Amino acid sequence: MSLTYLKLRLKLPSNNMLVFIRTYRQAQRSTGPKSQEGEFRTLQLTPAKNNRSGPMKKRPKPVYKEVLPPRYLRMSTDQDWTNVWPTATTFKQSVVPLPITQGYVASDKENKGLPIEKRANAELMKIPNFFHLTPNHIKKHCAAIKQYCTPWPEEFNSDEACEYYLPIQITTHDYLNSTPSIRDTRARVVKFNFKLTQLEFDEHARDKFVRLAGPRYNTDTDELTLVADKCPYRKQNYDYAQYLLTALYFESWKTETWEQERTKNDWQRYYWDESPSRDRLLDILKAHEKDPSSVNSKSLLDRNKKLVERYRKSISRVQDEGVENELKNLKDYKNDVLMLYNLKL
Amino acid sequence: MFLRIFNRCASTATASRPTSFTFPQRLNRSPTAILEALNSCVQTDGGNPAYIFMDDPFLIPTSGHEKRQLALSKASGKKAARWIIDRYSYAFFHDVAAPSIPSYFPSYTFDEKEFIEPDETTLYKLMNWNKITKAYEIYKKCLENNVDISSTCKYALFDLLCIYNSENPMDTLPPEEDWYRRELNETNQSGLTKRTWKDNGLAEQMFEELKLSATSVEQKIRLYNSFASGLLKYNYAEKAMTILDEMRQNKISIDLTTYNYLLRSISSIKESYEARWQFITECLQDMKQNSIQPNLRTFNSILYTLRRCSLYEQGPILALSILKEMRQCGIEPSLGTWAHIIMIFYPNDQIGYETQILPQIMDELEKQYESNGHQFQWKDIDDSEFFFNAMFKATVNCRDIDLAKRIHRFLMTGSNSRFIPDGFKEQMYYANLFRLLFRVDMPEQVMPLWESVVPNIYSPSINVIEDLMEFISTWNINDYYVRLWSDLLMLGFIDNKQNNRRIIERYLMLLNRTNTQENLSKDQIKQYANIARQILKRFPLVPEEEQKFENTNDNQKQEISEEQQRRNQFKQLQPVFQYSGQLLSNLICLLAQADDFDASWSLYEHYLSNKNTLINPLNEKSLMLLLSLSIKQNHINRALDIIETINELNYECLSDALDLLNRNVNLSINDRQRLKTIQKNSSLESAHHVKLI
Repeated sequence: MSLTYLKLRLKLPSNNMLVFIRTYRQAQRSTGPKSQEGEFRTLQLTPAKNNRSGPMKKRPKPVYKEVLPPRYLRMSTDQDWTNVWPTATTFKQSVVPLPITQGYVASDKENKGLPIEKRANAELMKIPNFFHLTPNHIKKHCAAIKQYCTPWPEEFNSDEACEYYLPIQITTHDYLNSTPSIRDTRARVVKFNFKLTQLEFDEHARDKFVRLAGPRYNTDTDELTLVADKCPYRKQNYDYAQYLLTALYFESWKTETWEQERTKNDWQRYYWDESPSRDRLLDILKAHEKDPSSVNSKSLLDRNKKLVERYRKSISRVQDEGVENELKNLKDYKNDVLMLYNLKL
Repeated sequence: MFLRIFNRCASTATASRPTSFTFPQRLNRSPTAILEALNSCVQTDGGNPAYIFMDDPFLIPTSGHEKRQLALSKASGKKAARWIIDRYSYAFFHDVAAPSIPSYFPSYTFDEKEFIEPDETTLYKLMNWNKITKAYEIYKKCLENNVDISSTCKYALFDLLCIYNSENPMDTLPPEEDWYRRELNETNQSGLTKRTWKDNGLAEQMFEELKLSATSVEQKIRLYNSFASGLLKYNYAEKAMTILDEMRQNKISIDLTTYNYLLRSISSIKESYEARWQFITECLQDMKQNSIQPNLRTFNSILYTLRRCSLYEQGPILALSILKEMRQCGIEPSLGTWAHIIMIFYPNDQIGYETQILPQIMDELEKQYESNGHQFQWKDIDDSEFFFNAMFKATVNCRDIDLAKRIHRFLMTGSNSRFIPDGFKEQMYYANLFRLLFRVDMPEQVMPLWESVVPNIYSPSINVIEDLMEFISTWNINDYYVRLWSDLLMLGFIDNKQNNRRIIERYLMLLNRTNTQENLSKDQIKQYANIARQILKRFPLVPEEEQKFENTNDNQKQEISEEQQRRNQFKQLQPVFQYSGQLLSNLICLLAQADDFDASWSLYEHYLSNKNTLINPLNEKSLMLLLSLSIKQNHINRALDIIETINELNYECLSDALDLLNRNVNLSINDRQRLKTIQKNSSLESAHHVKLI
């Protein structure tokens, strides 16, 4: 890039010429009055003192006025710190009346082995300080903005109450910088946060909702998080997130035809009512009856309602729950089976 | 719609909760209200320098001169930057700000091509960029070329010509420079009303033109009112009166702005006070008939006129009635209103103490401040006068410390200090405050106040410093002496100027006076001696250059660069610090007390070698102290020298000196002989009574 630029400017014919020019320049630089006689010239990194072209100009020493003593020496112990350090600023050693040190001393020889004190310590200026956010500052600030606060509603006496009255949490961020621009692209992001218990679902809808939500749903806390940041403005993102949530909800209530095709492998949990286990149980119960043709499956189940319910629960527990309570679940299952069939071991 | 999908009753645990529930209403606030509220928390205790200066001990300006220099440098830097931006405008197209800030961009430069075929847009553009005279030129050109120009454009141009007195408006000064405008701006220092209206200016020409073409009533009203206001604004009352008469004859109504200007300039229309008041009432009657609602400016203008009737007996009563009228109109008086009322009630330095109006005004203002949400707005241009006037009258007329302090406290609360608009007014304000306090108050009360204000808010002038020294010496505040020295250094009073020599002399007198009065602690003696050494270091007895030239050899002399020569020349222009005998003797006292024989002896020698040129001789006290020190340190010859000097000067203390030397030291025979000859030659009787061994 720069070469082509040079070419254009100087109108050099080719690269060869360029090389030539370079060598020529170098030669000229070395053949000055400073060159020494003999075969080898010594390399002088710094010009020798007696070889200087003219006398070194003496720079006048700048005259400074007396420097004030640091301000902290005159501070009283009962001063109002909020007036001394009202806003965020870099560290000023002359103002902070504390013996602060910062820095690392490599050896004992350096600075007598002590960490460097605050005066002329650039490290302290680099780090953020919180001298402008002492408890007194916060109190003052709170008192100032209290006029814009409404009283806390009495109904919101617990976390559950807040969750109940305010089911959804919408998070946006405002950014404030001391720059010429008041815009910040991060301010466009809108986050929706809510618990699934706040929505009305049947089993199918909930299952579908969770499947559609995918990684946005947190199983442990039962929370769904929607983040919208595709659009350039916050309002657009907000509207989009609302649309997303509404669409998600109503979509999950629909049952498509292909949903009928789901097999046992697609179950999210064990449905005993649809399982082959139920058919087998019915067969066994039927076999018990004196007149198998006179009873249908419903009346059979009704008659043994208690036992069947227990059985159903224990077998679904064995299927659904993991390894944690496996032994206990299996034991329950065994007892229920024995009870159901009136067996004794 | 959206929230409907949330099922409130789903959870069993919350089934018992009432469903009807009203959220608290969000309080209405502006987008920046929170920031403003937080901003109101930001106050300073006076320990830090003003915002334009860097808060670092090395860079903080302390004396008034330094502050001025720094602030003006900063202002000129801004101007230079502005110039660069305008000059190389093609380089400044990058817009970092959002929303865009127009003043960060180069100002528009007009191209001559634009004026070849001018039209109305060109005119508007010129007016927007404050090129009023050029706009008028182009307007003329448009008329010649028969370009159609709408009447709104014409009247806008005419208004601007009247407002700016047929000139281009001045560029606004940077705030740093604005603070010193009174010193920099030489014209109109006295504040007298002078006629500055331009006769036969562009405004008048345009008025004559438009007068012929104005057809509708609104146009006429606008035309005449603008012109009359302009005339009154630039104090051309005679012509304004004829215009107003013309308006009355043609039944053109006068608007509020014109009335306000008229009420303000009555004092230059009518001579006697009665006539002035008569005129005011007439004006107000007119306004009432035309149903024009007065505003704050109207009342302030009336009070301004009343204030210019000094020593008018009716003044205070009328002022109060106007205030009452204001309340009835539902207009809250601004600081400017109170400023005028103060001046009406206290027309000169003697009158007005009995009325006790100032404390009442302060009561009223504090109430107003509370009810306004702890802040005052700038409402009127006269608001800038309030604190200055109040402090002036509180100190000169009332002589009330508590009142002065109360005003000062009020100034320091919130952002009230912005009502002092420029450096000059601030100087006067503090000078008045401290003069009163130094005269009447106790040091325990004054010094904390002084320390809270000096040097960051206020750099005192030499008169105030002299008052402070007087104050310290009358109350004899020993602890403050050393501090005073550092204050003097800090405020730039210890330098070569003629006035400041006086300060040094006074300060040394102060130190020496206390020396005699009581026994000082060793620390204090040491500190005082250090101060003396500092003075000697600052102002060497023999000027530095001479010493330098003696030391340097010829080669080096030639090599002195031009710059140094220039500096030398500059130094020669500055006067060399002249020591007087008085000053020297004070220094000798301080040093001798701290047992610094070498330093004090060198001062003594300096005196001897320059005896003929120095103004005063050394005093008795310094010589005695030096004598006793030299005896103590066994410098017999020198002690004898001193006694000879005492003898020459014919001081009464010779007898004491002789006695001292006689008693304390084992003198050699020669020395005794010398003593005796001194005694013999002395003309003083008392010296002969001393018996020499």
